[in-house]
Formats: sequence, C-alpha cells, structure tokens
Amino acid sequence: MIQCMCKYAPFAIFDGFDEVGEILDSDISSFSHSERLLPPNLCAYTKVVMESIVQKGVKKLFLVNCCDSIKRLYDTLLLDKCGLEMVYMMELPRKVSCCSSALFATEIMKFITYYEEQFGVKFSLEKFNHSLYKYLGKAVPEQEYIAVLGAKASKDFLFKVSENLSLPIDNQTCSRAHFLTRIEHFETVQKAIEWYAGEILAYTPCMRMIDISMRKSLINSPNLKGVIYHTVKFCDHYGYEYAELANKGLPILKVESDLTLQSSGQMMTRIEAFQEQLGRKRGTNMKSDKLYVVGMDSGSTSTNVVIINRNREIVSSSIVPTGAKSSKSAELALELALKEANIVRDDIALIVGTGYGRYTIDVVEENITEISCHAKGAHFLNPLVRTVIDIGGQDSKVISLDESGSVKGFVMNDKCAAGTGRFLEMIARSLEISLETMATEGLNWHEDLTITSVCSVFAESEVVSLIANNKERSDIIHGVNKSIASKTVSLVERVGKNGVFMMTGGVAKNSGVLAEISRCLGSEVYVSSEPQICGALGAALLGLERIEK
Amino acid sequence: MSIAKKLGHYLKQNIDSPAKVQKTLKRAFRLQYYIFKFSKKKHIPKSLRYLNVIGMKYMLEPLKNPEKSVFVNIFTPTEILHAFGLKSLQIEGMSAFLSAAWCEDSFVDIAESKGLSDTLCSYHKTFLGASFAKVIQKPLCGVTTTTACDANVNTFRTLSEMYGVEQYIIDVPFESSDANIHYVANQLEELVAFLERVSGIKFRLERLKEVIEIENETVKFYKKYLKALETKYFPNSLSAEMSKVLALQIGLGRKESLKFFKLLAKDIENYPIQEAKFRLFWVHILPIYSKSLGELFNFSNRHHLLLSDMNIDYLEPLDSSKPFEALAKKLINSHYNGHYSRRAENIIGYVKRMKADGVINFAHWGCKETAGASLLLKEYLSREDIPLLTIEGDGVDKRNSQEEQNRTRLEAFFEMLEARSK
Repeated sequence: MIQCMCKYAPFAIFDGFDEVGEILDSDISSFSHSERLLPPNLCAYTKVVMESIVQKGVKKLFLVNCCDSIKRLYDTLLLDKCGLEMVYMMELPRKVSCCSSALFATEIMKFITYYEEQFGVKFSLEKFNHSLYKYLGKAVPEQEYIAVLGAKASKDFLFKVSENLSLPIDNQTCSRAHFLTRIEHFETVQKAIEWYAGEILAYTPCMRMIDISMRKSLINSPNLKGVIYHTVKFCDHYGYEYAELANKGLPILKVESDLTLQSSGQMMTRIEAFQEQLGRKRGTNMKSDKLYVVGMDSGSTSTNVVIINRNREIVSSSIVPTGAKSSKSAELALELALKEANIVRDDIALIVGTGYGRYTIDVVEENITEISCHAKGAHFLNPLVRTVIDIGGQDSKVISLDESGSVKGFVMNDKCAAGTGRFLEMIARSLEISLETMATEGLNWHEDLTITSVCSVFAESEVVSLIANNKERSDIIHGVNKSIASKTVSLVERVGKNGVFMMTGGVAKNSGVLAEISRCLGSEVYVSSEPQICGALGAALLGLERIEK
Repeated sequence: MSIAKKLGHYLKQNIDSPAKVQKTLKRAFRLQYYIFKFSKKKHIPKSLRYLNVIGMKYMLEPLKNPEKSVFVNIFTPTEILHAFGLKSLQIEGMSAFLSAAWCEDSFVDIAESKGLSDTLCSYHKTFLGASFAKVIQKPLCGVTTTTACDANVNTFRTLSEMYGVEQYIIDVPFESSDANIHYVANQLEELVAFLERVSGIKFRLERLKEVIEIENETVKFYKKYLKALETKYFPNSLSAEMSKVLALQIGLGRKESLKFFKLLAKDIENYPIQEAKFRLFWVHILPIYSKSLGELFNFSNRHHLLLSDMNIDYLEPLDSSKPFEALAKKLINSHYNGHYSRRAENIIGYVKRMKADGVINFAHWGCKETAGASLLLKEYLSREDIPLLTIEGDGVDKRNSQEEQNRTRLEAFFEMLEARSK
C-alpha cells in the first residue's frame, strides 16, 4: 500500500509494482504528534499526513511537490522518517506544455528506477496495462447535482454533506480519486509513461497549476445546482477561487475546516441551512388542529423559547441561561413559556428546535438551522430588513434576505471567539465589570484606542496591557467595541452590504457595540425589543408554515 | 500622532475615492524621495542614505508610468524588463510601502472581505486589497515565477483577471538539472516574445547582456562589502536591510544599484573592526515598522544586525554570453527554490563566515516557506551549535505583531548569548 495525496500521483505505476495506491484520508481527531513535529502554520492536511504517519504507522508515502506546506513536510521527513519505509516526493510541473510533459515523464521514470532499486522489484508493463481499466472515470453527472469544490475534503465531510443534501454530490476537491478518461495498451515502458504523463497533466487542474481556465468547466454544467466550497485552514490556494465564485450568483456555501473530526456541529448547521436555501426542504409536513407552535433556540449562552398561535401572534416567550446541560435548560425554558401563555404541553402542535443544542433536546420534533430561523424571525419583525447581523455567544453570522424573507446568502465566523459574545464576556472579566455596565460605558469615550489584534486571546492580552497603562476604562471598552464592529462589518461585506440592517442575538442589547457597528456601516441598525428571541420566533413561524402546508 | 499615521488615517478615510488615494500616495512618496535625497543625517553612512533614495525611486517609477509598469514579485527575473526599459512594480515592495504609510490594514480587510484566506501572506493581501480598491493603476502586464511562494501564481492570476491584462508565469522546477535549466531558459525566451508583443518594444539581446554585466559588477562590490563585514562593524537598520532586498532584486542590473554597492564597499572601509556585543544574522524579512525591534537593532552597535539571508539567495556571476541560461540557473539555484537544506546550508555558511553569535528567524504570519520551516532551521542550526531565536510577527500587517512579546524574547536571547560567551 502506498499512501498518496491526490489524483496527480501515478497510481497505475504503483500497480506495475503490485502496490495499491490510496489517497490518505483525514480521519483523525487531534494533531497531538504533528503539533510537536511541524510548525503550527502549515496547512491542516500536512498535519493530517504527519499525524497518520505516526498514529497509523503509514509505511510508504508518495508526495507531490504541490505546495509550500507539503515541501516542508517532505523536508521534515528527510530529517526524521518517523518509521516510514519509503518517503518519495515527485516534481509536478505547473505548466502544461510539450516540454513540461516530457519533464513529467522523466519524473515518473525516476520514480520507477527509485522503486526498483529500493525494493528490488521489477516494474511490470503488463500489470500497468491491466490496471488502467480500473481508473476509467465518469464524466459530469447527468442529473442535477451539487459540486463540492476546493481543497482536500475528508470522507467524513463528504458523507455528512451527501447525507444532508437532497441532491447527489460530485466531489471535485483535492481528494478526488485518480482517473483516466481513456485508455490504451502499450508495448514499451517509454511509450506508456509518455502517454500517462500527458494524461495526468491534462486533468482539470488544481489551483496550484498556472493555467486553470479548464476549471471553469466545473461550474458550467446546467445540472449544477449549487457549490459547497471547502477550504482548509492554512491552505491559501482556494480562497482565490472562492473569492471569484462568490459573486457569480450561484448558490455557494463556504466551509472551512481543519480536517479533524470535530467542529461538525457548526458544519452540519451550515450544510442544512444551505439545503434550506436551495429550497429543497426535507422532512414531512404535519397536519394538526392544535393552535400553538413552539420555537426553541438552544444557544451556547441562552436557551430561548417563543410560543405563537395560529394567527402568528407571540403568546409568550422565555430566556434562560444555557447551563452545562442544554436539555435541562430547554425543559425549563419551555415550562416558563407554557406557564406564561397559560397553556399545557398537549396544546402544542409542534416544537421546532434551532441553535447548536437542538439535536440534544428530546422534546424537539423538527430541526431547522438558526440561519433560516433568524431570517424568518427578522423578516417577521421588520419586513424591510435585508441583512441580519446575529452575534451570539459563540459565533457570529450575517444573513442576507430577499424581499420575501428567504435566505439569499450567509457567512459565519470560523471557530474563533473574536467578534462574539464570548469575547465580550472575556473582556468584561478582565475589566472586572458586568456585561450590563460594559454595554453602556463605552459610549462615553475620550481617547480613541484601537485593539489591533485579530485574535481574541491576543486582544485580551492587549486589553490587559491597556489596563496596566492606566488607560480609561471607557476608552478601552470603546476600543473593544470597535474591534467587534470591524470584524462584523467584514462579514457583512462578504455577503454584500445591503440595508435595512437588523441586529439579533444577545450582543444586540449592547448599545456600545451597536453604535460602533452602525457607525462602521454608515447606517442605522434596527433592533427589536427582544433581540434574543428572534431565532426562536423564526423557528416557531417556520413550524407553523409546515403545519399549514 | 506621527505624520505617517496621519497620512494613513487620511488615506483610510478616503478609501472610497481611489483617485484621491493614488494622488496622495504618489505625493507622499515623492516628498519622501526628496527628504531622503537631501537628508544629511550624519549617523547614517552616505551609501545607506543613497539606498533610501533609490528604494523610493524604484517604487515611484512604475507609479509615474503605469502604462509602462509591470507587476512583478521578488522572484521575477527583472533583468529582462530592464532590457526592455519597462518599470517593475514589485508587489511585495509596494505592500511594505503601504504599510509604511499606515494603511495596510484597510487593504488587508478588503482582500479578506472578498473571501481570500485570512492566513494568506499579508504582502499579497495588501496589494490585492489595494488593487480591489482601485488604488493601484492598471499595468502593462504581470510577470512572476512559481518559486517558493504558493501565493505568486494565484495572486498574479487574480490581478491579471481584475485588470484585464496578460501575464507570463515562469514555471521553475525544484531540482537543478540540464533538462530543467533548458526548460526555464526556453520560458525566458517565450517571456521575451510575450513582452515584445504586449509592449510593442523590440528586444535587444545586447541590452540584456549589458544589464547582466552591470549585475555582475554590482554583485562583485556587494561581495567585497560582505568580505569586509566578516570582521568589521557597519551600521544597519531594519529598513536598510529590507531596502537592500529591493536593490538586489528589482534593482540588480541597474546603474543605481551598482552605484549603491560601490558606495557601500567604500563606506565600510572607514569603519572599525567589530566591537559590537552581539553579531546577529537575520533570516527572512524584517518588520520595518516595529518600534520594539527598531529600538534594539536600528544603527545599534550593541546588537549588530549583520544581514538577512534574503540578500544572499544567489550571488554567483552570470554568464552574459548566454543570458537566458544564466538567468535560468539563477532562478533554479536560488536558495529560495528546492529543498530547505539548500537554504539552511547557505545560512550556516554565512553565519560561520560572519562569525555571528546567533540567528534570528522572523516567522512571517502565513508564510509556509519560512515560518513553516522554523523547526527545520532549528534542527539544522542546532547540529552546528548555532543559537537560534524564532520570533513571530508580520512584515506588513501591524495587527499581527506582538511587539512586547518579541522584545522580551529577544532580550532573553541576548542574555542567553551573553551567558554562552562567558
């Protein structure tokens, strides 16, 4: 078995040596070894490879000098093989021309010689010829599909995507398998290799190649209904293409991951919301004579419940802090709301859950992502709203809506506390004041301080230095508010700056942050009387719509 | 607030009026050029004062003549552009100058808001952001290589599409072999045909040969300076060392760079044998804006900043009778290209020659080539018992710098070096 990185490895050559090539999947849960062996800013896939070598005892590794990170991985393995029997890096030209094809054929021949010498096995042209059949690949899907593009995606990720989408997916990421569109039979090794080098170089190129005009074909099929764009932390190649595609009007969802099995909560939410955006809702319609629908938003900081009646009137709502166990808080919030509405559980036709905790709550009957819920709730509260800015405890998101309140697009921050409610809590703790005091104190500032760090941990240490420098508390808070506002507005710019703006989530109650955001946007930002319940309200409204269908 | 900060504030406030920003930047750069030109600062050697002038000149030229400007990056063989009389607009250099004008953060934010990765090198993000904001004018074309930095190809492709101009990218293979040299030399000839076509200027081989001869002459003086530096003290600063990168990249083959290195080789003759406490070798870029690092190194004879490895990437003479082959060899054998061991061995060679007490490696945020090699460098240097300190930061985006943390680390490193020397 030879572990490889991508389709550009010459798999059929491995067959000629009775070896099986396999693209190394990213199915690890931590980077404990690679953190020791590699610098932190190499791309996540490089870390996956290193981790797999150590954790899984990979024996033979075949690399392509595709990017700076992989080159550095190879340099590292040259110094310490980490138990590998074989570590080989092949040079892949970035240009496609007759000269580069000849160079690439030489590179493949070099590997054949290397393997023969290293392992004492002769290359078999017959086995090579026979193996070609198994790589014959399919063309573009003939039915409607969603393309997954971008950097290396794990099998786990691809599985989750296909599970949550109603259309089939076509994987065109860096983890796409080696393939051939035609095959031939060869009499000499030289001829075979020259042909094979040309076939590989003629692939729809990855972003490291110089001429990528053929990549346009990836989005040109009339059957293509949307794109899930997968980027990998610290891999910068694909951000360029995403930046170009983002404005093409095609439904597109960007997901960035570090390729570990974690963070699936946030990823699932996005994929489901994307499905909702595509307008191909899954789940069954429900019929009921009962009058009330419950929307329940289980967030990281608070659990919010809204009960509405058939006339779309809010009959009650409740907000309780989410404790260590989200299901307990959910029970409590529901109980309070039922009490306030003066109804009992049996009067409820449907309970719709949203927020990160929605899957862990037993009473929830239907799940809808907070993206769709916030959009729905915001549109209900103010039909003129075109952009919803939701800053919650652990994430922030910006959703753009059309006139009917449907989601046009959305972005979320990635696995980072900067620009979220959690960040404000951290700072309030450092300043030894309550969140309520902090919410207003920043409004009365004198010195225009700037918190420059983009990372919440560094930003906190910057705040600590400002405290040490005897800076006024109100000025520090103003600096913090500015920092959150600038993060938020950059998210707004990613979906497209389009008023009327509305802010939801707990942080909307913070008038200092609100003032800064509206200053940065150069526009008023609408906040409802109870911004925290917007998601739960949307969940209830969407639930009612489902019943009515 | 300093003048530069005020300038940055003004530029950021007017970011929606690109013509205004362009004009202000050009004026500010021109003013700075004259300030440098008539500067009489005694503590700065004549050669380094001249270096400031030509650094500014190299940046101003393409801004003044956008229709004759070519987007290049640090690895582009600009010798060929000089032969055409075209003006190189080096994107990394421009980003550094925008950072010096305190407005890089707005451009980085613009680039990120378009969807570019937040871990992408800020030299690229700043330039892309400024281009998205239409602050940079349309060039004639773009020319880059695939050397070292992943961002090159993608950034140049994006710029080419954004401005609707053509580009030529030279694919530089990893290993040095006759076939690879031939592959690159062929592309350089293609580049000449490309430039003839887009510029309408006829190429003269003789002119390229002259450029290469000037380059050889320049490197000779630089080597003379480096020889003297082995034992002597010579003032240096973060920005002077970075300006030498310009003089040795887009400036090589130009008379101005030749004049500078002539002056430099002469200036050092008047300086004494080393008395500095620490002789320090730098790896990779230097954050010229950094207050804490500037206080430690700028013109310091206690912490003598010898040179950065960026300025020793390839100093072999070029065969002017075979210019394309010579430039191809230079591209392939540059220590930025190929396995890291090539760069590490070059660094070790110079550290020993210069009798440096220690090495400071600047891990620039997002740079997989160098920050990504910090553990490798540590391994190579520890085999030679050479002390190394890696500090993290950003050469452009001040928001990624850790001023106080870096000062503490450096001071601890100096204490360690001191203890070692006892």
